[in-house]
Amino acid sequence: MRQGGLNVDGRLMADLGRIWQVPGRLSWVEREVSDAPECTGGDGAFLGSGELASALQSCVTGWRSQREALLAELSSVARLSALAASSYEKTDAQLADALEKAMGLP
Amino acid sequence: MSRPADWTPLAAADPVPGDPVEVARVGRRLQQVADQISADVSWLRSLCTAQFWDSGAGQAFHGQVDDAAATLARTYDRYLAAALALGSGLSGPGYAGALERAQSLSLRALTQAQRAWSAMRAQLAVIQGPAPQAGTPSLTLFPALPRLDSSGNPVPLTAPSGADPRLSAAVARYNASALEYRAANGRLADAVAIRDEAAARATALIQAAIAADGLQDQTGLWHDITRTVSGSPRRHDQQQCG
Repeated sequence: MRQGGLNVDGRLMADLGRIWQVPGRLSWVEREVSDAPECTGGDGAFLGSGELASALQSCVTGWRSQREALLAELSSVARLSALAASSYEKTDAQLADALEKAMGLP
Repeated sequence: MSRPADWTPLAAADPVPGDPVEVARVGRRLQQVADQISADVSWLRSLCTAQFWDSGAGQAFHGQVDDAAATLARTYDRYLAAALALGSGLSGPGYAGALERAQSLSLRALTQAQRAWSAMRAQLAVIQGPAPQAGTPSLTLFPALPRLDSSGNPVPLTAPSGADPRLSAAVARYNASALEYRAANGRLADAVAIRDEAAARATALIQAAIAADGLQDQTGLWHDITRTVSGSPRRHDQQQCG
């Protein structure tokens, strides 16, 4: 194990602590980007300028298609991260078990 | 801070509406989102270094994370532009500060105009003399209320030659107040110009970011047709590449 991660067969390396953080870390930005209209406070009357309100509205809500794609990407990364971390842990445990048996350790 | 509801005689409604405190609050919120996006992009990219992903499966995952980080990075510029455009405080360079200054100036203009208007009306009452008896038309040459020109400024009065000295003095005082009202009107125009220029700057900043990041939804007839045919929203890069 190196830098808080796993070193399996000198090839496979991963920092499980960081991988496990991915879903939680991305959830905040996912929420903020999803709730963009909430972020800018309704119809923008507080701006006192229709032109600016329209630009701001367009800025935070006018990228629906790409926002959906981004959220899907982030969601996929979060899911795969959890899966990867779980798999690495499982692999490590299996390898350790096999080595212990092979070496005749108790 | 609440704004006066009555803007007469300067305007029919608040000529510089808006809430600069709320503008700054939203600006700070957008800055916070931009900062978090930036931190997440850096964090995701550091996660994808070969040091941590030295395997075939890891490399595949690396690609997925890198794509997400790249898209996220493009949203950073958009949020940052909006945050800078609005500003995060009332004394900063963003729109919030300009709106605060414009509103403050417009309040001073209103106070000055109302004072001048009141003085003009008082002088008109002196000039008019006692109210005529019922059914008797007024013979005075002067209006009952200050008369405004097309720019909203009071038209100066002229005392007839050989007029009573008290009438001439009242006309002179009226005209002095009319000048004060004109100054107030100019001050209000300055306030509106400050707001308009700041709003135009902020709008341009946001629109430039929108135009540059390639994230904006496609609109228009051709987009609607392709969207309907494809049955689902498509990414810009996919649309542009055919």
